[in-house]
Amino acid sequence: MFAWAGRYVIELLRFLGANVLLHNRVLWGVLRGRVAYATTVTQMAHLGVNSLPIVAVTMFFSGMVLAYHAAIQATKLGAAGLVGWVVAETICRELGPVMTSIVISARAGSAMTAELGTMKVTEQIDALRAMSVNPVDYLVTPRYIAALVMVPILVLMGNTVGVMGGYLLALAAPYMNAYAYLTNIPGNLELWTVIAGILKSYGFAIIIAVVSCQQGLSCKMASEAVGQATTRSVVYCIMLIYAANLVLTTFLFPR
Amino acid sequence: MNHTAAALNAEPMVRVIDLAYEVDGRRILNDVSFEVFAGELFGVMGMSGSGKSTLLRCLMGLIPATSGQIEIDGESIVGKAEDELNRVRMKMGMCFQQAALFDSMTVAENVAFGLKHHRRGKPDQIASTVQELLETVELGEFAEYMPADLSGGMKKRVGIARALAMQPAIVLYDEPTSGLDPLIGGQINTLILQLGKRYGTTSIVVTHEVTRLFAIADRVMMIADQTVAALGTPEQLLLHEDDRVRQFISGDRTGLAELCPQTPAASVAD
Repeated sequence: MFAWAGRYVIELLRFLGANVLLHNRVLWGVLRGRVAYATTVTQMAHLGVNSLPIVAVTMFFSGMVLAYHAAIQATKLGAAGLVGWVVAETICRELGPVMTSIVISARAGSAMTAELGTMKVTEQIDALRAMSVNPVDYLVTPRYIAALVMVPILVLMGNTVGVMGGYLLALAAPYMNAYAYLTNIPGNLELWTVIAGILKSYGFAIIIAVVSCQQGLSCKMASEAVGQATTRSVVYCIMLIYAANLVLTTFLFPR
Repeated sequence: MNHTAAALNAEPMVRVIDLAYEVDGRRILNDVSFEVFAGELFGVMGMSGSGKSTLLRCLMGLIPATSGQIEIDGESIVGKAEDELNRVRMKMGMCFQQAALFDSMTVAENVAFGLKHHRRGKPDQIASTVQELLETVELGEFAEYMPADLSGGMKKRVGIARALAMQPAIVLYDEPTSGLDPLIGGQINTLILQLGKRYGTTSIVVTHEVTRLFAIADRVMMIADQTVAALGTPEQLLLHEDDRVRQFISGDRTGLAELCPQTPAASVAD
């Protein structure tokens, strides 16, 4: 039992250590100006454009479902006019940053792992090193910067789409007041709530980029290992995003 | 160039002293020592899994040697950080066994990659260098093809052009003719020989195909049982007394020697 637990603790520490080391190597490269700008722009397009549809669809329906439940409960309490604020507050605080980041980790993070893993298996990463090209600078840093730029933008867009999803439900549902849904948001939703949600997304962006790339780079030399690494990267990203969300929430929204 | 002429050069381009490489407690290479001189075409042969590719990876610094010394053009690479290794690697080029072309780039982009990344010339200069190299490997018409559209032999030739693009002093070839038919294999061997002479590069060719290697190499080293079993000119190796060498060259399994066991593929990986 102790041996089993110990093995998992060592594996966890090894995983965290590898990710912290990779993150530091990326930062060190950025500080030394080793940024492949063209690749970074390409990665921003991949991450942003490819993830936008699924982020929009996910947040749109989540906003609708949230508004539906909020309307039922709020009507019971005689606070039907506050549904819009409840939806906006929930989305901007928690749902938007967390769900958007999870969707991005599944859509773009998995693609990063699969791409780097395939490059590792087909010796393309060794070929880079043989040509005196640092794989971290060339492959990881552009993805890291792309995630840092695009994840907050996608979170902001996801928040907006989520709130609008609730509004569309309010327009269609006779038991909801669409006008009150919108007009109650500006007066009740604090700017800090939106900012804090965006700040969280920076932390999630780092997790997505570093974990996805680390899993790809450490992939074993077998084609089935690419699939395993891809699955692992999504699982680790989701777990770390939730864990980081707890830490960031208590830090950004103190009692 | 033959080895006598090569030996007249004072300093070898590659010097390996007592190299050992171990992974997961399993020794792949042990006490490997040899020198390769400027302009020489040096062959490394041995059974599949004997550690030939591992040796090349150690020379390129892709995997760290467990012990021993590796000097490239007089500079030790053992224990060097990646940035320092990158400086030494600028003198070297490597052709990988499966070519390892960047599959998201065209043939021309693959060959131009190192030149562009290290800013070796203006775009039009790079384009003309790339075209010249592709013409040299007889792939001038395939510049805009993707690697997936090429045959195995063509990929290997693109790999050779890419390795030569940076004008390296030393080129490492990992099984350049494996998996190819005799005609294409012979064509690649001729290409390696011609390019070595044309660009004055030092070439280290790893293969288990004895006949092809003996046709082009100045000197040949055989690895068996993790270490150097024989080293000399092809003529010297043909007369070698070691049963393992004679058995390997003749291809006769019914000999006296017990040839080295296979190295698991995973052991070769970093």
